[in-house]
Amino acid sequence: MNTKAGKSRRLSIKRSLLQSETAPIFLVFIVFIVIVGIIQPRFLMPLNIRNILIQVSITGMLALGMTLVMLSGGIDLSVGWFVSFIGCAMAYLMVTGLSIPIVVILGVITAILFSGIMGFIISRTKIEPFIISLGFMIIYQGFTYLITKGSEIGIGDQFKLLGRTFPLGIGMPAYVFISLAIFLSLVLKYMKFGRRVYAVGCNENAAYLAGINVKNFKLAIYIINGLLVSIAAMTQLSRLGTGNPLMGSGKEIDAIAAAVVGGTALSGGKGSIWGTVIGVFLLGSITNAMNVIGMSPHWQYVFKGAVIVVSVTVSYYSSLRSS
Amino acid sequence: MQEKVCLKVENISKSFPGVKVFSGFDFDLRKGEIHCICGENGAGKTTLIKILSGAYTPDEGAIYFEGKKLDRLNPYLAMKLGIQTIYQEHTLFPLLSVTENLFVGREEGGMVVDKQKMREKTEEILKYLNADIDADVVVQHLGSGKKKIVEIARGLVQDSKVMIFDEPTASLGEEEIENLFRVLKKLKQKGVSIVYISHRLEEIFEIADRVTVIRDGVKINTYEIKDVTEEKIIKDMIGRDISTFYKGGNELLREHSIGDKVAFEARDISGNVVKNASLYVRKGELLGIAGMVGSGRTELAELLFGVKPADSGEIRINGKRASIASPEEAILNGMCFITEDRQGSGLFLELPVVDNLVMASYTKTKSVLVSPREDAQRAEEYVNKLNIATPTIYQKVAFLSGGNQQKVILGKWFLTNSQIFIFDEPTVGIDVGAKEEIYKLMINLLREGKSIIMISSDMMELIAMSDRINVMRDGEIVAELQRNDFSEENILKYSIGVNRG
Repeated sequence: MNTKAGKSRRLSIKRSLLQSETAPIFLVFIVFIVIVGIIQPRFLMPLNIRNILIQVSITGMLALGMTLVMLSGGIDLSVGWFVSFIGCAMAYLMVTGLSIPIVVILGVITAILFSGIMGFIISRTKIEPFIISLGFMIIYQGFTYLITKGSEIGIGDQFKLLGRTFPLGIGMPAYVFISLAIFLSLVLKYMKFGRRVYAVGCNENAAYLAGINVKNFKLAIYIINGLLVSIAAMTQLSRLGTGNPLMGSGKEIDAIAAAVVGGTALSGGKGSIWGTVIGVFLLGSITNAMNVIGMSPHWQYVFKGAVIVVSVTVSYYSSLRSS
Repeated sequence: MQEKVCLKVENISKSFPGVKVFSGFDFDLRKGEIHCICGENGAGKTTLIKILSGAYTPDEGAIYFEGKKLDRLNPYLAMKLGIQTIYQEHTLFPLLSVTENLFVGREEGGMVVDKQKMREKTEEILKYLNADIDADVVVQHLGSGKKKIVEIARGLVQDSKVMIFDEPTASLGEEEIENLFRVLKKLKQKGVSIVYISHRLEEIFEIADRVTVIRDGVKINTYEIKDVTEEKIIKDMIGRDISTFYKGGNELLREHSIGDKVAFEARDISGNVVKNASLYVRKGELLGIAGMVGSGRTELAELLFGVKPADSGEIRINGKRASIASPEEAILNGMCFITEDRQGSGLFLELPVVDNLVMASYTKTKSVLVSPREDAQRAEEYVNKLNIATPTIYQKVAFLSGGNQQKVILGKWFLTNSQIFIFDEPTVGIDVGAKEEIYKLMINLLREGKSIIMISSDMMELIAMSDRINVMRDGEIVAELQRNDFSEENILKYSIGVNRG
């Protein structure tokens, strides 16, 4: 009996892996690793993998938040400069002599406050989140430059824990990223809130009629995203040891790209945390692969762009075929 | 007096997969006449408009325009010939001015648009129509009535010979209606032929030259307006073949007993288009809501369920006053709402059957966590119970048939243990077999002591299933019919307001 049940379970896991929407991108990822690994075995050495882990983690955290926002039918272009703003603000406060825990608390509160304001506007109006978050992106850019006056704010070695410690030889950012990914994937599967994310993104109207307070729900999504941004900002600050105005700029594009490559639909309701994680690793290791193979790093953009275009085209056709 | 025929269709048939057939239809429109089309909801009025305007191609039959047989007709050709359709919803460009709207696609001047000339022509036309509209005003600032006039003006710019109006007065106030009628009469003098769809009999008698009654996609009669009475038209509109209806409903229904306790009561509910609506439904009772499309039935249901908050009125559940300002509160009070637009507001099409079934029940549980395994068990249970045809509970709902989708929606509310069910057009777009199953499920609900409020445009459905019927017209509940007063004629009379004097 037991073995039979176990077998059927294994079968269903196998089937769900093959059928799931992340399957194509997972295959692409494996093929990519194998090809680069054959050309240059150094790519798969532990040291290099450790490098990749650190390189992708901060974008990864943003991509996790972006996945939540996109699953619920929204988008947030502000996260890149939001990281710069929060990171630089924290650096500024640290330099004034406030203790680390207080600065961390202030950073988190600020992030929640601003994402709350943005979420409030997005959830209470029918204005495109694209536009609102674009506006906030520019506002954050302004705050960043106001705080830093355009130059870096060095914080020395006082805040190393999140970015520059290496438990078991692996960088702390990777632990943070992976724990957040595990946590969020559990939320999406086992919490009422998580199940509802898909419902709201899939059909807001039906979600409302099923008793979901859609407005507050969306507000909550943006606040959670703000929280993730603040964690990413702290980690980045800790890693760099300095509040650099450009510490987050452009990362919103990488985050959206990773989510999209991982199968998250811009229209909402479709996607998964693990798809995004694969997307993060795939896009994030392209740069590294270029370096390892010895190609001009400028090629990375061409490849990244191509991966995005190919992966969404493939998933478009596979969804056509299944319907 | 033999008048010149402008537009004629002969022996037209049209069928849709699984839906009613529009068959052997003849119709002719004389030059400079106003020809009204009457029929119940679903009689085929809209199909006729779509055929005349070229949106649908008939399966059989011929269309003649000014004596010439047309090989084919599509909306573009229809426009070129001068057939213009004015739909219920506006097709104007809201952000352009009146003048720009009139001349879109046919601007005056060469490479550079001659604004002055267009403006003058616009003013000329508006003056001809006696319309108090500024040619430069942006259309979105105009009221419904004026927008309608602008659409008519656009037809004049395009030199339309035939204008088809689909329930033009549905959203207009009395003054606007009078103004519209003045304009219609002017058009008529100008030699424009008008097809006018309406279910308001008094309007028809005010403006029509002739009237054609259709029922179930078949023409019953065409009359000169002076030769016909209201009663005659109503008689033609009703009399649908009862054998097409699920007969079991009637007998089965009589076996349930209605409780004494009022489960749900609404007093003086107003809001949106609904005015002072009061209704109640007992345990084990099915209250039918009749009325023409646009009479405010759906709007009433939305107020009852808290989709849009009511301006005034109160709701009592089991005799106790309840605050229902959102669907969430309605659900917590044991209500549920099965909307007409299944795909738009009932289902999460891209999500699997299981999520669709359990999502609303989350509203009633306090727990923060959910158990996918329990959800799957409950979903399996209801897939079996309701006989939902799906390969697995993980199938996307989008891939199910209409009937099975409707069952998923029902299952969703069964799982939330709802006591008061509001159905809006429960069987629209569902094939006959699935219809029967839905009726049986509804009757089972009644037997379990649950209450149903059912909005329906299907007379047979209303008469067979209801214990009582409230008839709505213009946002008000104008009549309450007991079972022995049930007849198509009665319902229709109140729906279209013959008894109003």
